[in-house]
Amino acid sequence: MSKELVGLEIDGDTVTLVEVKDGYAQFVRVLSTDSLSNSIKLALAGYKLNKNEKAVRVVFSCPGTNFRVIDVTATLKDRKNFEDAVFTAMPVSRDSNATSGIFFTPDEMVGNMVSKGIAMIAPALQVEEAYQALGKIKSELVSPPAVFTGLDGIWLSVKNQTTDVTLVDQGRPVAYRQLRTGGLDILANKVGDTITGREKVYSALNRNAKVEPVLENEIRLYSQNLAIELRQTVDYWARSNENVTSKINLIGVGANLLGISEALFDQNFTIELNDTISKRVTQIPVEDRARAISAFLATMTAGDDMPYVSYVNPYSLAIAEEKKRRDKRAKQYILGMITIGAVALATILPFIFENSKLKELEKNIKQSQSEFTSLSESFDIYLDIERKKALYKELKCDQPDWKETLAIVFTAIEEVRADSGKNVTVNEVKTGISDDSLKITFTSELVNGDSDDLTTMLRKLREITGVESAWSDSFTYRDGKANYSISFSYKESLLEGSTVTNNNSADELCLTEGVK
Amino acid sequence: MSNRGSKVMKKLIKNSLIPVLVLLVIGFAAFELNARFVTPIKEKGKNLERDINLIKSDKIIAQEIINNLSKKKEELALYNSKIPDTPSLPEIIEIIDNLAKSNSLKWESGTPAPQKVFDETLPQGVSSWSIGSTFIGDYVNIYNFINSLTNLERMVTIESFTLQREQGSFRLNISLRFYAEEIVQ
Repeated sequence: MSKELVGLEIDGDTVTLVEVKDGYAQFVRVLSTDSLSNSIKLALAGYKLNKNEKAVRVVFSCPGTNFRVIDVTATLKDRKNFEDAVFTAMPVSRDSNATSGIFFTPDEMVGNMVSKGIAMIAPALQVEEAYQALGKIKSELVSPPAVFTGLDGIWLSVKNQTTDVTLVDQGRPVAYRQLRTGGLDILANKVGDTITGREKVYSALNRNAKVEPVLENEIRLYSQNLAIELRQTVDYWARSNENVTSKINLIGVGANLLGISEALFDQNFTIELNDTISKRVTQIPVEDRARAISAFLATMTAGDDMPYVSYVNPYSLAIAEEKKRRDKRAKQYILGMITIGAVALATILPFIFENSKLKELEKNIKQSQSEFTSLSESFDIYLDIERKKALYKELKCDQPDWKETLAIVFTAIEEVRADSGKNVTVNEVKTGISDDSLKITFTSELVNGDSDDLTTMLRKLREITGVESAWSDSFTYRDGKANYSISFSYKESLLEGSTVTNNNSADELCLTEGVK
Repeated sequence: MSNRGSKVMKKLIKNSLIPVLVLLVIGFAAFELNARFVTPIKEKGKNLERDINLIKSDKIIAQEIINNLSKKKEELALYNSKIPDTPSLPEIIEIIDNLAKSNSLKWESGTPAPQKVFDETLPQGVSSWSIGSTFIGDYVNIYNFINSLTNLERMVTIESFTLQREQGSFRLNISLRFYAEEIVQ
């Protein structure tokens, strides 16, 4: 299924749109409003230009466009190198001009091989304004010679702003010139102001129209000048060994201007539109055909010789830059959102989970507390018992076995008495706590006692469990009686090994827990 | 490394640095926020869980008390008699007097006056009183008397004693302490 294509020509504030289907111009629309932007918008109204489709080629005619054939090498495929080469070939201000070009044999641009190409420049400001007016439309702005590739001959284009001539030889545009005579606006300015003057000139585009003598005279002068300048140009090209011909492809809004054909005939030119092109525009009105040809050719050559044939779109670069910035901001925003989301997931979810768990626990503890309230009296009994137990344990269980000290003393005495057969009596027993053990000192009296008896007594004491040490404090002998003062230290528990007769649960506490 | 390789490395570092930094930021922020908001709740939850478990075990204990109420009350009464809430000084004198009499010991110096002892080593809330007494009796009686002191219904501890022979008998100078848990309401 074929699809219609559109091409544009911008000529000052006038926009010409041609719709092409199956290689034939179907429709032409010419718009001239107060601004180029509005003209473009109105011209393209009703067309859906898909971003993914080919760019719309726009032929851009403006004064100051220049042309030069240049030598090209592979290095010029770099846009910056290409621009350097163009501005070297054409010594004009780099700041105020934009560049475009065509490499005739791009496949031969390998290594240091030199081939041919053309370079074109146009005022940068006008290029930028044109792109700005085109806005977001995917477009490629080219100078007039770029659309004549493959169409040998001389192409004279009489437009509102400019009149230019392109020479195409062997399919390549090899020469181009904007004529000093200028476009129809020069003529219009001579017969009125911008609007009325143009209206008057446009009225003279109809060969049957009646034209004021003054205007007729101006048109004649204009046409003659134009034809003379064209002759001079063509002759110059001929002298420069270009392959020129006397046949002129006359196109543009001014092609129908009253008297122009005659003026060209006078300069030995013949007017003959390229046969192929002529056939391709038969479906549009006769009076619009000549002015539609540039836009038609723009449609047919869209995408050819790109990207160098098109002027760089500073506006789209700015848009791309802005888009890049927006994308970067969007990326940062998304990254930020992801970060926040991840942090939220890592924080809020645990927070919600822990919080709900906490609430459940708070509920549980309230329930447990209320259940426990009814049991608290019984629990108080438990607490009282435990407290008293602890007190009892602390105060009682560490007590020394006092009665055992007496038993030790008297047992030792009895054993000495039994061993020696001597009469032994205990006169005094003193007890007291020294450090962690009991210190017991006793005095005894032994009839006919001697040091051996003392030794026996100390040995007996030391043999008793719990006695850590035993020693003699003093020994005297008077009136047949020996008096001993003996001490020993003892470290036995209150209850262990004692003769507890009436155990109760309190004393069992010391026993069961092994507290000394 | 070639120029291209260096560029690739730089790009790789640039491309991987941001995700790593983002991950670090996420990790740090999550850690900080968790520490600030989640951890305290977790801690509170743990404390509540511990308290619930304590209440549960207390309930089991309380239930056991209810199941053995009379026995436990007896046990409490026993400990209360050992270490009563009030000093009950006349009662302790009477207990010691009865014990001495039951062991055929004579008070040598009449009824002693208990002295309150200020002892910082005692557990909080516990007060103690000291009694110094002298008894006359034979060895067996004195031995039984000292033995019985450890098993009195009121807890008594011996601080020291001295035994002196005196005309066929013994004189026992003994210093005793008894206790009360004066509960502050």
